Amino acid sequence: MNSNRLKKQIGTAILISASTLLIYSCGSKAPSEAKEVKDSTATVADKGKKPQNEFFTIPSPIELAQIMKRAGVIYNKDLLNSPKNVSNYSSNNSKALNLGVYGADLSYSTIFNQTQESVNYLNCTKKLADGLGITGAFDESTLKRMDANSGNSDSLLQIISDSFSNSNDALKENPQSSNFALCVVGGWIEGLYIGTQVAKTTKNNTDIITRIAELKGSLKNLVMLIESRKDAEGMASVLDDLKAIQSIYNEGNAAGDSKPTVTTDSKTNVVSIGGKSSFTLSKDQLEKITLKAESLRNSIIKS
Amino acid sequence: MNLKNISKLVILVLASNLPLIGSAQCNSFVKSKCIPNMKPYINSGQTNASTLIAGDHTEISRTFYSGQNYRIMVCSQASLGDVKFNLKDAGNNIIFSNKGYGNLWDFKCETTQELTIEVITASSSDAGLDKSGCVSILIGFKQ
Repeated sequence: MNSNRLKKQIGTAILISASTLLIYSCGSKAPSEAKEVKDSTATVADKGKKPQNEFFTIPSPIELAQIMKRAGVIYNKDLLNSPKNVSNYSSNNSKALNLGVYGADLSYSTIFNQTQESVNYLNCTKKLADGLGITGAFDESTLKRMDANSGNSDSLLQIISDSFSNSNDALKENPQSSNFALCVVGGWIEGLYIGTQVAKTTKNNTDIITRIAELKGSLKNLVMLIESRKDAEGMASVLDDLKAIQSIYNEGNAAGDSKPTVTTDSKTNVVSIGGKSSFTLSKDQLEKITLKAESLRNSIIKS
Repeated sequence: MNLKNISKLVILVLASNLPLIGSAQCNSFVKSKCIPNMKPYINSGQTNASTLIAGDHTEISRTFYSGQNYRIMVCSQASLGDVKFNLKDAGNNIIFSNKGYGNLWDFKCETTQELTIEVITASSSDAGLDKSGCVSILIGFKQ
């Protein structure tokens, strides 16, 4: 092949590639979550070779409800957002935030085997999901599956998890929308709110406070997620609110100096990760986080 | 342009656009081939999936809570070849590598830890220049 012909072929290839790119960017769906978060994530990358892709994760509302229950949190339906409020949310941002709030409340009521409350909160999530154009995540078949598995909490949690997964995937399909991020924020804030409110009224609250301290890492991921969408409508104030909570966490040594170790039980072959882990909050930090969580959560449910 | 050169051109065009056209197929692959293998663990509800090429390096950081049992699964299309994953502590030290364990790993968390899952696809010299495929990092939990 001579060089002129090669140049011509490469030129043709570039032209076709550029055309494909143009068609893709005008009419197709989002690049993956990973690529959107990539540039704002430097914590790990700074320590070595920068990864080409970085993904995002925070604990699901179901997991947060599980760990809070184990820490001694009791069920108090008065702490949850009333299902009656669902019709108050008219803007897309308030629908997305409260889809997260109701998703967390659905998780709490299910973890504590409050079947009727779970159905009520599932109906709330369905209404808001419908309002955001998400179909198939929380639908009639979900209700039927929950009804058929009402005595089996593990199955119920699987069903809810599947619904969250479908809902998150649908929300992420629109790259210009902040709905996915707001939904995640709503769920996280509701979890923090419930934890701090219960800690305030529980005598032996040491384990609950430890769980609240352990949320520092997920808050960091949440801030990175919002920063990657900070130009979208309504995101700047959400970012300010989250950073205000983050600065309270950063006042102390909430992250601790962990030193994990991996061991395998020779009899059971069960692998465990243990080792040093110290997550603490001072009384002053806890009070400030409690106040901030209450204020932010109440502004979300009244929006 | 002869048939051989047309084939080269098609491969060049496809290779340059694979990361873009693969997103929908990637999500479909994760739903059908990966998530079902998480049971009996509850999937965290967030699907982290992307089309990667040979030699890519990807990370995800997360808090793992004491008292919980976890399953980490790195699920990838066969076209990508070997995909390795490491679990690293906050100091970037590797505390687990999946070599000899397959694509999933179950463990119990006795103390709360902030860990990073690092995923590395085989380099191009090992896997060939045209290798790409969907990779998903899934995290499941149970009490």
